[in-house]
Amino acid sequence: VEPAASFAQSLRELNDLKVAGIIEDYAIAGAMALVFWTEPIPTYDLDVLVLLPEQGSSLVSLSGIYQWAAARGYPADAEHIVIADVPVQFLPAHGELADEAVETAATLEYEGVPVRVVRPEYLVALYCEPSARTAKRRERAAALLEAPGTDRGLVERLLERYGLVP
Amino acid sequence: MTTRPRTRPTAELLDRLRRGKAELRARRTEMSLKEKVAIVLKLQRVYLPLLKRHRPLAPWERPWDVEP
Repeated sequence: VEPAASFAQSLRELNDLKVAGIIEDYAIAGAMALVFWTEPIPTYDLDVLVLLPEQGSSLVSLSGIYQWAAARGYPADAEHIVIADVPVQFLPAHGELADEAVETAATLEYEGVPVRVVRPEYLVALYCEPSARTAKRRERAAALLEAPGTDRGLVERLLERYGLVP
Repeated sequence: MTTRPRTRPTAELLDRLRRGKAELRARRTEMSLKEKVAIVLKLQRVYLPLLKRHRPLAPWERPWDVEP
């Protein structure tokens, strides 16, 4: 029986994507980002916001990531790439707020592996975007606002700056 | 509808219960990342049958076979 992979291995591979220049930068978002900042919640995938290098076209392509995954033997499953048994969804930054969320992400450490995680204030702002307003996301935003390290002033400034004040 | 008189919790008891819950959440928030990931892995197994009863699962919705 093959030993199970470790979660840290999936994180290490994200860093490798950046070192290889396939992505400019990344930051974990979604439910796993919440786990870093608040209490554990159930989730089955890892959302990763990515800044892609200039592609010389207005159409965004994830083909570089898919080629990298295929070369390493990581299968694609629907819109996910399964990296060391963790389904990872790569989400190209969809606007300036998402760009800033990646650029200002915190570098934390998981079992000796550096990992970029979207800061809680930016997660709240992303959850307040009109396309993302669902009951589940409102609940997550509320949990993040209650987290001890969340800078509520920064949240307010972000919501103001990006026209997201409810 | 008629309601029979019931014994109700005191404000003090309710307050204590709420405080207890907040303390539990704070303790879970302050756990190490490895401990949190271990809990996520456990939650994935507990939550899956409930989710399955609620809606069809996507192919990637399954517990991860990884060590925390």
